[in-house]
Amino acid sequence: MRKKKLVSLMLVAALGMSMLSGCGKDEKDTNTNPTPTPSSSNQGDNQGDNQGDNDQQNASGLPAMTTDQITLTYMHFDSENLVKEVAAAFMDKYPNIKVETMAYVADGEYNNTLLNLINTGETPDCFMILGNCDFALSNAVLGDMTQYWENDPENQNILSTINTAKLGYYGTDKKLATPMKFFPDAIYCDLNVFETLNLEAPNTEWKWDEMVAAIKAATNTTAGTYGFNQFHSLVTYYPVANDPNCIGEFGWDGKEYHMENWAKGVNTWAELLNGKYHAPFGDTDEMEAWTGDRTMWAAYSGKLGFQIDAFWTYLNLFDTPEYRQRGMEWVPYTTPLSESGATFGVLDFGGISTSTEHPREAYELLKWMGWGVEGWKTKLKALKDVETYKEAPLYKQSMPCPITLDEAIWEEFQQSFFPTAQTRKYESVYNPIDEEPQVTAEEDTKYGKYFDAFFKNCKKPVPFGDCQIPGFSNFLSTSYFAVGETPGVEDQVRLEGKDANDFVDQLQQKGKEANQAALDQAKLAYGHLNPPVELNY
Amino acid sequence: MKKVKVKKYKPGKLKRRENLMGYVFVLPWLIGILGLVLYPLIQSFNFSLNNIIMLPSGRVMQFIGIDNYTRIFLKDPTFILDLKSYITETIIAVPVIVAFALIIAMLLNGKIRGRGFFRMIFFLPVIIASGPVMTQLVDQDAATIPMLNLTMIQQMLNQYLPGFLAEGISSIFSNMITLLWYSGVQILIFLAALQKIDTSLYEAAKIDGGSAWECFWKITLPTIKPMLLLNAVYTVISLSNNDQNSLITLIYTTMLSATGGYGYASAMAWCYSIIVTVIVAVFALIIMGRKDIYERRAKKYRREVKKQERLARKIRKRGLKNEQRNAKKAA
Repeated sequence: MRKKKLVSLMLVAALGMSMLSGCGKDEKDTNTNPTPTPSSSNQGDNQGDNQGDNDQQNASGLPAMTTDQITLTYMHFDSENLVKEVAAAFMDKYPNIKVETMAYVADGEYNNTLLNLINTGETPDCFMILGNCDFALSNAVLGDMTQYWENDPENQNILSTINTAKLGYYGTDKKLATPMKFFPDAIYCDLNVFETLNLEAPNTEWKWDEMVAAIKAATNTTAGTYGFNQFHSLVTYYPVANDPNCIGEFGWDGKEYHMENWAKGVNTWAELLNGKYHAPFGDTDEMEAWTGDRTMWAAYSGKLGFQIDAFWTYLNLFDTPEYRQRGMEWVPYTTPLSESGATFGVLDFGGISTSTEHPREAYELLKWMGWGVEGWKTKLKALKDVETYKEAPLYKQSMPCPITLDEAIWEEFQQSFFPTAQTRKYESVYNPIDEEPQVTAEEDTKYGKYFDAFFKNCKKPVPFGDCQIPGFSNFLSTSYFAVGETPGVEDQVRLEGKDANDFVDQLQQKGKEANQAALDQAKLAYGHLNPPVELNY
Repeated sequence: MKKVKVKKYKPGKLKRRENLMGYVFVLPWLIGILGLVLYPLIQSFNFSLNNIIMLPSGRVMQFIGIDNYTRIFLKDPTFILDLKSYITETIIAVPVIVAFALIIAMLLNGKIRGRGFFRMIFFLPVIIASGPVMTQLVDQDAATIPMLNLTMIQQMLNQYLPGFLAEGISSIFSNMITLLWYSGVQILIFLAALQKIDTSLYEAAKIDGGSAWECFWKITLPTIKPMLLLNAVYTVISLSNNDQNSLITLIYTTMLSATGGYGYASAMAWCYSIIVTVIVAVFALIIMGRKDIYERRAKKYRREVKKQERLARKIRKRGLKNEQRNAKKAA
């Protein structure tokens, strides 16, 4: 009996303790005090205050790195092993700097986790943000790195739209964030389908009309083939492909939307969907009638002309024996090229914290993790290391493309993992899962020219709206997507036969208002920093 | 007249120990509510009255009174529209889930082969299909019955029912599997309640010629009524704070949006919690408010007995008074 009571008491105590285990507080400042600390927002203009004697411009135009013993924290949703390798190389180069990395999954919780860390005074020195930029701007999370960015010569040799479209400035005069990962969007073409239909594969330098013509040509009711299946929408691509001034979704030019091109895109998209050029959607009777399997993915059917998908789909799926053995020969095309050569690509952004005490070093670490040549050299080494990571090779884990335009990096990158028609300087990696080289000589011959064109044409990416247009997410949720019983704008066009042009004026106005409200909120937040940072827009 | 001092009742040693043990068991919950819930609750209400900027260097709070609340109801259409759908869906879904749980619990309470196995099957989704797993299943269209022609059902409902009702009912159909997955705990509670019913009641009823149908309505249901309420409350709460709830998603995205933030999201959360409380209260009133005929008769009988007792006392007192008066007169 006594034993029983003792066990009961112990269980109660254990339960009580475990409930309170999350309440622990470390010795760090929790920063819950409303009074901002003097170290906040000391990037850019005030960088010298923190550098002391080391505040000398080095050869590259940037202040010298500190020689003090410091610790930097980096929060990310990248491959944990890859980031650790880069961090180790960074620490080798700067032995006085200890780097602590914090890996989180790229899901809906990521940005919230970052805000929670900020709330508990554990703001990382530099970090990635996932998609939506608004939370970071309206809470003045992103530090001003204009001085570093504009004085760093390495930044002249990166994906050109980052500078021409002023990505990460968010329409202000401050560089607050910058792309860290780059995934060019791919419109995969199944060469086998084109061969079956006796069609020539489209030109790799295609324009919008050529793409639409190819989609229509690949749709053949006799052969049972459909033109396309989309993951990302054609609606997003149209303004990028047809407006040389467009630097974002819906015809965004950096200050406002030009939705007349969006309207043409929506109308074309609706016409293609209603005209049955799009493959049946999953879990429908149409899909069952087409493939005999209700739940089949259209791109697995072997009867699809184009699959609009993510960059990593090639390595993860299309280039696996399972797909190859079904006779599919997927090769990537960029989204249709605009007059300026821009295409659509996914960019994940990152920045340094407004509260970091080491902005210069945080910027350097961010560069290593994102776009810097030195960082990419380490990354390539790790990505090609199929011995250490033979169970799960790093290059198979949503590997991004380089952001730097360094030719050697790009050459090594492409030739190590993808086919090429050019003379090889680098051998392809050995694929430890399929136990064969990742790229064979045959693949070089058959698919090399497509990959060469793809990698040549993808280097002027225009990204999604939410990561670079303040207020974009708000605009979508309140004025574009379905609200209550009112269907979304795209559905009204496709299902109710409305003309997208009728929505243009109203949407442009709403979009502008949302952008203005978001920028006003950001200005207010940055004004609360100590010293205040004035955002001009 | 001498006042009689009533000695206070002192519980015995065993009783005291039992009481103490009770407090010890309740203690973790008390610590939890005081340490982990109460403070955030007060803080979130405070947040809801402020515009909050979460600077890395510290939190900035600007008091704006009830502006966040007026904005929810007067300027922002999304919350109200989502709230409307939520209320309709919850009001329809709760009876469906509770009724389903009761039916399954009664089946599992019967003498069937592999009873333990089936009980495990029905409780398994509670353990497995929670949080991210549930989100994944819903994303992969596993929440609907594959053979159900949803389009046809929706068209039919739209034809015969008002828009808001048709939408609510069709959402039940499209989330049928999810709703049934939510029934695990309720089945368990009902099962426990059913097993506590005295079997002699059924035996007596059967001797008197009561059918299984009558036994259910006159013995089972009245006996497990408190559990019915408990399950209804549990279901409302579980439907209101799961990942698939559009209002939860809205509050969450508002927290991260440009013009939203912690303050506005907190105001939404408070409005939402009040609405949830009201729904719980409505279900409590519906379930506990209506007493069955036997209970009503018993109450009426008790009232009658009390009335008779009062009358008897009155007569006795009056008789006593008359006797005293007569005695005085005689003296």
